[in-house]
Amino acid sequence: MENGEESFLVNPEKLDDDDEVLRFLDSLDAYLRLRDSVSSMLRQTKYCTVVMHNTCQYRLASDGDGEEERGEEGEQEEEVHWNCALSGWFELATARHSMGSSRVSSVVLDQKVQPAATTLQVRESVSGSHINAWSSSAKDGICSSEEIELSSMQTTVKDSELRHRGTSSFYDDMKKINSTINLTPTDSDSNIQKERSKMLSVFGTLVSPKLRAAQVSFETALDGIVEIANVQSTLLSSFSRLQQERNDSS
Amino acid sequence: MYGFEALTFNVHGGYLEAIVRGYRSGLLTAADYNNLCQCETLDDVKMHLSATEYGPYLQNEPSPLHTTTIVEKCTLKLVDEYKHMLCQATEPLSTFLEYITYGYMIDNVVLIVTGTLHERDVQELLEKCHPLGMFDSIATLAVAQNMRELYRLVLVDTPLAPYFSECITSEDLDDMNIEIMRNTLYKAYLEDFYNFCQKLGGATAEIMSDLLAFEADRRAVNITINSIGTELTRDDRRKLYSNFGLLYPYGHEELAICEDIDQVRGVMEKYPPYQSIFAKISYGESQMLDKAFYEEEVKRLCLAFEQQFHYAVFFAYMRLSEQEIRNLMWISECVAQNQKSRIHDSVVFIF
Repeated sequence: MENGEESFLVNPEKLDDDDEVLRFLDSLDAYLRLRDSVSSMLRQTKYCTVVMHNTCQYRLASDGDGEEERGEEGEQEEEVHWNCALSGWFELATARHSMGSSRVSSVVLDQKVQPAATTLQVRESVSGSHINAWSSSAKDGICSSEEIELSSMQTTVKDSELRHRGTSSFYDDMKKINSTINLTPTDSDSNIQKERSKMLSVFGTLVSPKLRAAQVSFETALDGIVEIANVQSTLLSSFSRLQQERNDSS
Repeated sequence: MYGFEALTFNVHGGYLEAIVRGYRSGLLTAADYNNLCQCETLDDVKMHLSATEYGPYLQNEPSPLHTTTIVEKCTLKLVDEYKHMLCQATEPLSTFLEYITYGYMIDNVVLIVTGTLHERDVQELLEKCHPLGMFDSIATLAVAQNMRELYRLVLVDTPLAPYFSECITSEDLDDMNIEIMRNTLYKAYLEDFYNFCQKLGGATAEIMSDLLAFEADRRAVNITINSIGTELTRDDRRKLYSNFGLLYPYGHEELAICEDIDQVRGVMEKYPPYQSIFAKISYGESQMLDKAFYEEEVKRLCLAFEQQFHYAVFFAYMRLSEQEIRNLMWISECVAQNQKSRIHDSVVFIF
C-alpha cells in the first residue's frame, strides 16, 4: 500500500521539469501556428506548406498517432490554403484592378512627415521582452491611450489539460477583434475607423472596398508579427530556463 | 437621315472604320488567354505575348519583368493605334476621338493634384500619367493651391475648361474636395459626350447612348458603394450622379440613401438589364460585382461591331483594349503572386 502511495505521489522536482518542458513545447506550438497565420496573410504559399508539414511531422514523431494527425493535417492545410487566398498583397492587386493602376500605385503615397498609425513599445518582464502595439488617434498626431494587448491573446494552456493541436485561432481571434471594432460604436472604435480612412486618403476618398480589405489584412499581419515576436521571446526564455535546469541537474 | 449612312459614311470614315475593325481582330482570344493562364513566370507571359500584337512592344524589355512594365508597354500599343486613327480622322470623327481621351485627362489632372498635395515629385507623377490624357501645360498643375487657381492657371486652355463651372471654389484642395472634383468633372464630361453623340444622330447616337448610359449607371453604383461608411453626405453623393442613364432620376434618388451593398442590390434589381448582373453575386458580397459589370460592358461593346457606318466602333475598340490591358494586368499579378487559381476571378473574355 505504501509503495503504491509512493508511486502515486508526484516528485515535485520532476513536476517542475515537466512544467518547463510543457511550457517550451506550448510556446513552440503557438510560435509555429502564428508564423503560419502571418505567412498566409502575406501570401507565402510555399513557406506555409513547409512549416505545416514539419509541424505535423513533429506531432507524428512525438505522439505516434497516425490517423488523427493525418486528418488534422488535411484540415489545417485546407485552412492555410484558404487563408493564403485572402492575403493582403493579393487584395491590393484586386484593388488595383478595380480602381486602376494610376490610382493605386506607390507614386501616390504621402511623403509628408506624419505619425505612424501603429507604434510598438518594448516592455521588459520576467518572462522576457514583450511588445505592445498601440494604435494612434487622428488628433494632432498624438498617440491615443488605446492599447492592443496582443500577448494576452495567446492561448493559455492549463497543466491538467492535454495539449491539442487545433486549427490556428489567431486569424479567427483577429477577425473577431476587427468585427468588434467595426460594430461597437465607441469613441476609440470610431477613431480607429477614421484613422484607417485617413491612411487610405492618399488613394482618394471614395476607394474600393477591396482596398479597405487589403488594409485590414495588412493590419492583421502586422499584429501577427508582433505576436510572433512576443511568443518567440517567451519561447527563447523557456528554452534557456530549461537548459539551465538541465545543466543544474546534471 | 438615319438609315442612309451607307451612302456617304465611307467617303470620310470608311478607311478608319476598316482600320479599327482590323485592330479589333487583333484582340486576344480565349485560346490566347488559356495559354497565358498556364504561365509560371512573367517571362512566360512575355513569351506568349510575343506571338500577339503586343510582341514588338515587349520584346526589348529585360528580365526580370514587372507587372507595371507589361501594363505600360501594352498601353503604348493602344496609344499608337489611337494616334494613327486621330491623325487620319476628319471632322466630326476627330472630335469624337478626342472626346474619348477626356476621361484620361481628368484622371491625370487628379493624379497630379493629389500627388502634389502629398509632396510627391512632379516628374514621378508625370511618368505615371496616362499617355492619352497628356496636354502641354499639365506640369503647371503642381503650383495651384485651390480650384480657382487650377482653372485660371492651367485648365482654362484645355478641353476640360467647360466642365469646371460647377467646381470653381476658393477652398483649398484637400482629399475630399479633390475626389468631389474628380467625380464632378467626369459627370460633366459624360453629359457633354452624350449630348455631342445625340447631335451626331443616326446609328452613332443610338449605340453611344446605350454605352454611355451604362457607363453613367455603373459610375453611380460604384460611387454609392465606395462612399458607404465615408464622410460624403447623401446630398453630395446625389450631386455626383450623371443626369442621364437608366437609373436617372428615380434610381439615383434611391441609391443616394443606400447604406450597404444589399440596399444597392435592392435598388438595382428593379431594373431588368441589371438584374442579371446582381444575380451573379451573392448577398453581402461586392467582390465579383466589378467582373459582372465588365462582362456586361464587353457584351455591349462587342454588339457595337455588328453594325456599320457609325463612330461607336471606335469607342468600343478603345474600351475593349482597356479591358484587355486590365486582363493582362490581372493575369500578370496572379502569376507574379503565385495565385493562378484566382486568375479566372477577374479575367473577362472578349471573344
